[in-house]
Amino acid sequence: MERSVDILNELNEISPVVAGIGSANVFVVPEGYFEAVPATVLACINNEISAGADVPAGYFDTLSNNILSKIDGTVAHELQEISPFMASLEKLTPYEVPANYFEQVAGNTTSLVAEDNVPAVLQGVNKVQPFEVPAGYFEQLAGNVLKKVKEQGGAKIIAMPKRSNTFLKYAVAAVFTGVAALGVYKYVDTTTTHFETPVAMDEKKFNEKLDNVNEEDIIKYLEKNGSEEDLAALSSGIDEKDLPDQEEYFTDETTLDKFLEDIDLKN
Amino acid sequence: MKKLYLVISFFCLAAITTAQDAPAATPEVSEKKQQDIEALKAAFITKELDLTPDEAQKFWPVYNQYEKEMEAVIKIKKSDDVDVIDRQEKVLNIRKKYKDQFTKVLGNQQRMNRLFNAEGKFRKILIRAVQQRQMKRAAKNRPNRNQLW
Repeated sequence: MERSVDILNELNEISPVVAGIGSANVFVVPEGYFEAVPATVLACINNEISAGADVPAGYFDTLSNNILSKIDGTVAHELQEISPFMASLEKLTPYEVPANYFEQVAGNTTSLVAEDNVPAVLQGVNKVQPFEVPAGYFEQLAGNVLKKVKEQGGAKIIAMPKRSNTFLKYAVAAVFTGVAALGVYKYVDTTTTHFETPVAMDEKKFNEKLDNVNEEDIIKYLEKNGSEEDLAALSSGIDEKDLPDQEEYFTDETTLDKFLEDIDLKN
Repeated sequence: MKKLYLVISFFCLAAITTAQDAPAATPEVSEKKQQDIEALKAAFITKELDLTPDEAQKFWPVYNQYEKEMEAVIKIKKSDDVDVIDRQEKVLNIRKKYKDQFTKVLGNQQRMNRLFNAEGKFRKILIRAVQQRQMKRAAKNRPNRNQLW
């Protein structure tokens, strides 16, 4: 690797001693080292094995027993600590099977069945099938049924219902919805009466609205809501004297118009 | 299919009967006219009392309640065997009952007075409207100028 002049200069500034050291390799490998390496490693391993990692004779044969005995010892020791009574109990099965029991079981059951060892009540029952099918019954059954049906003049014919018209279905649905909606609308309409805060009207608008109301309706309203005085004033009618004189109509064609105007002005 | 027609006819029948249950057209229209007059009255009172929107919101619920009670009393009349004085007393009692509430909502007694006067004024306006129409009719009918000329 070439050393850059710049790096050398920089290094010189920092440490002249380091810069003065040449770029020669300081480590040396002995001659023929790498040729001998595998042989040397193998020799070392062999030495290691022969040197000793000895297993005592019969070690693996007794290993499991040793472990078990150690476990047993600790378990017994622990049990002794927890409950001496239980530790003193013998490890025996309390139940016993009679000798040759399982060899004889099969033979015993079959002999029981074979001997008809049934209860006395059932022994009196006859083992004869009480029901009988006439000879050839099932072979003739289909024919017999058909014959009987024909004797009765044939089976009743039940027509499968024709699929109803889809349009009609929707029409019915529409009618139903319509009636329901109408009902709801009517109900809601009568129960929820919205009260809007009244707003004052100017005189013109007020008079316009009043002109739109029928005379009969006004009278009806007054009869319902008015006092006796109001009704008296209403029923007194109009004073004939207030009307123009009959002759005035002859002398002046505009009498009527003038009079009607006067009435409106008094309003 | 027969069932279907049955269902349809049932609904038609239901629709017709509900339509018949509802009040016939004429009374409904008449009811509407009565409401129109009530609306005019409300507008008139609003104007007479110079109600602000805030006041109106407080005033009308009280007034509607008052009117409901009045209606119940006013119903008993229009027949000779009714004790007029007794009825007037009842009306007066209701007004007395609501006097304080109206004074409170309207702010002072003067406006409360104006309210009860406004009710009377409105009825007078209605009476005059009826009379004017009657007069107009009478005046038009009187000359019969076609025959004269």
